[in-house]
Amino acid sequence: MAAQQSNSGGSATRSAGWIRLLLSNRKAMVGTLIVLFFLLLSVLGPVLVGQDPHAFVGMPHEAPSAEHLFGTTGQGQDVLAQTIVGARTSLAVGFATGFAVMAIGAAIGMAGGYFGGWVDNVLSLLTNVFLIIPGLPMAVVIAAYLPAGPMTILLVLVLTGWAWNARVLRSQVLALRDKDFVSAALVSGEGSARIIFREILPNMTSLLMSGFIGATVYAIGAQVGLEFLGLGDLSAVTWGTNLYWSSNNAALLTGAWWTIVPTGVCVALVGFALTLINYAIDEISNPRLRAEGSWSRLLKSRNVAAGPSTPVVRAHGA
Amino acid sequence: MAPSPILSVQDLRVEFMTPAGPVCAVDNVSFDIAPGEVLGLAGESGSGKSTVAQAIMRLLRPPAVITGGHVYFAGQDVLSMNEEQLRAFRWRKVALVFQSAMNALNPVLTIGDQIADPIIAHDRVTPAQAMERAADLLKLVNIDPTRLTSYPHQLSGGMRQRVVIAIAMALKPPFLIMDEPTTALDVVVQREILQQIAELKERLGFSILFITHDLSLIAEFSTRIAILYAGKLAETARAKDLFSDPKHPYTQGLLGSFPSVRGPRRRLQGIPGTPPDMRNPPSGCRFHPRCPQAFATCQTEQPALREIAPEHRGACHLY
Amino acid sequence: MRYLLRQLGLYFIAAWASLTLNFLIPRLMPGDPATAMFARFRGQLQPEAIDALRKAFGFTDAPLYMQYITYLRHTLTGDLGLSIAHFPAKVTDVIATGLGWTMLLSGAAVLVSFALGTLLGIIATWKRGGWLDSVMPPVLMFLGAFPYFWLAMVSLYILGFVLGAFPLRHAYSDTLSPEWSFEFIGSVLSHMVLPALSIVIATIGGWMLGMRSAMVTVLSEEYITMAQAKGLSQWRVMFSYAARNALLPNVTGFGMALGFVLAGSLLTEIVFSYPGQGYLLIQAVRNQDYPLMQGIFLTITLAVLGANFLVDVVYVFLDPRARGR
Repeated sequence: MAAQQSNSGGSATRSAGWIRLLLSNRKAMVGTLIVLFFLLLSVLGPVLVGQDPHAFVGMPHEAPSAEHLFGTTGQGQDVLAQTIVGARTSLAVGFATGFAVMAIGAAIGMAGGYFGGWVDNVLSLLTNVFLIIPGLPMAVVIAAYLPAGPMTILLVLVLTGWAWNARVLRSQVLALRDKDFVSAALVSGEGSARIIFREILPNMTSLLMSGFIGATVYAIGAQVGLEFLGLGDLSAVTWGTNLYWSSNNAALLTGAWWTIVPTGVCVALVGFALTLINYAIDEISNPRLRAEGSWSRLLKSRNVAAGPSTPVVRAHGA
Repeated sequence: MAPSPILSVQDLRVEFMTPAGPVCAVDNVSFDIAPGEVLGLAGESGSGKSTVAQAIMRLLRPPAVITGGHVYFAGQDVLSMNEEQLRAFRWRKVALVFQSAMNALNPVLTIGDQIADPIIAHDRVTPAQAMERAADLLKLVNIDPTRLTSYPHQLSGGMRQRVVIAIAMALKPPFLIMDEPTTALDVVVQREILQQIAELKERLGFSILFITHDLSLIAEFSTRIAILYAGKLAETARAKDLFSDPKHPYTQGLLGSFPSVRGPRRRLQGIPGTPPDMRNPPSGCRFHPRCPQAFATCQTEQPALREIAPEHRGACHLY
Repeated sequence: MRYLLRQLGLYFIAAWASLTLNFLIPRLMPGDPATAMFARFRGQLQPEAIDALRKAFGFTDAPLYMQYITYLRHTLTGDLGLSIAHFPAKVTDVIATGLGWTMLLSGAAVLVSFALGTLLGIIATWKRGGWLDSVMPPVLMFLGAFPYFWLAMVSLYILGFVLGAFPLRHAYSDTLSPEWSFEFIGSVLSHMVLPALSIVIATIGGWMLGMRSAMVTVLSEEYITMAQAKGLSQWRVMFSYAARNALLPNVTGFGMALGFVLAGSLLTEIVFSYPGQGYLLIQAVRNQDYPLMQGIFLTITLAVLGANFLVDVVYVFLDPRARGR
């Protein structure tokens, strides 16, 4: 989706300008603040809670009260404590998986796009096959044979998730290959590694960023899903196992909605915030989307509806 | 001006709203076209020719905004029409022949549907009647009516362009805008298409606003010619006056830059420099950085378009 | 036609790849999962029978390629082994009990979501800056950020448990048995509402945003300007010219997204104890029923490949240019 920048060189100043643009975008600001909040929570969480989230602190399925703000689980554990502590593993696995998915997808996609020929044919076929094989059943089959835990989840999610980024980045590399500055570098006999890292990579920052963010959203969601199925480490406290246990304890059929709401809202907030940032990246790197904001504001300020025909706005400069 | 004009464009101003501020693409452009007349509007790419064409039909979408002037068609004020009035006005009164038929035709609809579409939208006819008229229109442009069920990608470039012309004829409008109707084609096909347009005009008697970057194309075809440079009119004159006695240095340059149809071949000289960046147009006369005859005033003062010979107007400090 | 053949080739390769993955996964894993797997049959089967099973599925000391051939022969003849959780039922029989339900639920939910989302995307682009265009995308984006099964849990709680408007679990009422009667079909439909609704809510935003951005791209095409110039009604411009073209990339995306949507609906089935593949899958996980898990993986993969081929046929029907390719 994101359009590429058109030249190389001056990458330091460009990325500085890029970050400034990102910060001046309202969507990006909101998204970044939410993500930062949850990152802080996952770092400080266990300290804030100050107790073992496994501890039995009350009766099973106690409704929210002053003592237990979010109530208790089916085993009498504090929901708030479990939600806060769960953020750490869930986010760590999510971001690590997101990064690995992006890196592997980028490596495979870029290799195919850059080298072309039979390398590209083989890698493209591999990418298309992995894109089409449904991820969850494959992840379940593999995870079932491995010891339960974050590493297993990371591994199966990378295996089932890399292909999308590979496809996107391959087509971007193909487009960049035809650009003058890459052709110039090729003609002047620069090495492949140098061209990839000096000429091509700097022009894909926005794509790599949005690829990473998209992969992280996928990883957090899929991780929660796998853990909900019971494929996570059930003795650990994560967002996914929280939901596994509340489902296992038939929480909803006893009316204990508070055992699922906080975790679900946290997962959704993180996912939503990351998607907002991705949206903002798209807006910034795609000038047409950015331009749209400025004219629609102008038309609104003049009370002109943006219909299918050319608007007529007289009284200039008011 | 003898008869009352069918189209009158007065001080038309079109701006593009960009994040960096408004960019004026068409700046106080005025011209009249009489019934049956052919006005050639010429300029380099980026001079605002197509913008003028689409502004007349109010087809530009935001960020383009019309910020001043008037467009009257047979006395009707186009700029104050509402959506429904515009819908009824378009194609019935003014039809547009697009530059690239490949892009102007909908790839997933048959040729027949695309010709019949405006007929159904404007006339009370059944789809079957519309399709019959579509077949007649194809014959009009020398295409076999069995092609009605073809899709655009199944036709050759020349055929596609003729289909676009057939669509423009669908309602027999009194006025046609042709936006470089032949640029995407090779020279032989170009000739054929122009021939076809001339014949149709002979038979149906519509007026034409013919937009081109290639003056040689409209030399024999147009009644009058207007030269557009960087969104402003540089010169307007009767076609023969403009070719025999170009006043504006830009026109002189343009004429020098194509081989003459008649008479001895002049040297291809072209105009040095490039068209100005419209986000940051030059001060004074917009042509002065490229003008061989520029002097001090040209850098500071914008020349106004005024009568410099009978029915011959120019915007240049030399006159 | 060439286009369809090429796609078909891709699906055959994908099918072969998943068969091979299925073969390799238990053999590549650390430890000896095969032994562990067959150990679970102990007590249920005579040791001789276990040995026979091992041989039948190629878990022998023979070289890998021999094992592979044995495995392929069995799989291709539709023999996926015995289920541990539903012992001694065959895996194929167990899967067959849930396949129809999954196809019914996921198929209906996906089609409704795609049709509604696409329509919303068209309307949002048509009324640029209207409430549908400015309010709906962020709301749907937020809803789309929730895990499907979580939305399922919430709708189960609110609409099923608190309001009692819809049944909480299973695909039809326990008091009925499958037959072609209005009562039974009505029961199936009312049991489908909640799970389908949560899948629709979770996925509709994606279709809407996808259609919206495809529409925005198409609207800048010259044939749209031409359609406007022709003085066609906005209805005609939006549907026959813009939406008809914007649909094409979305139909391709539809095939790609099927696997992903199916994953979500499997989890949704679990929440509602809906007797489809998802429900079988969680039983397989809980009982470490490896043959059943692998059978489900193969079945779902084949179903997705088949659905993708159907999407390709629809695509060729929608895009005249693809017919010649």
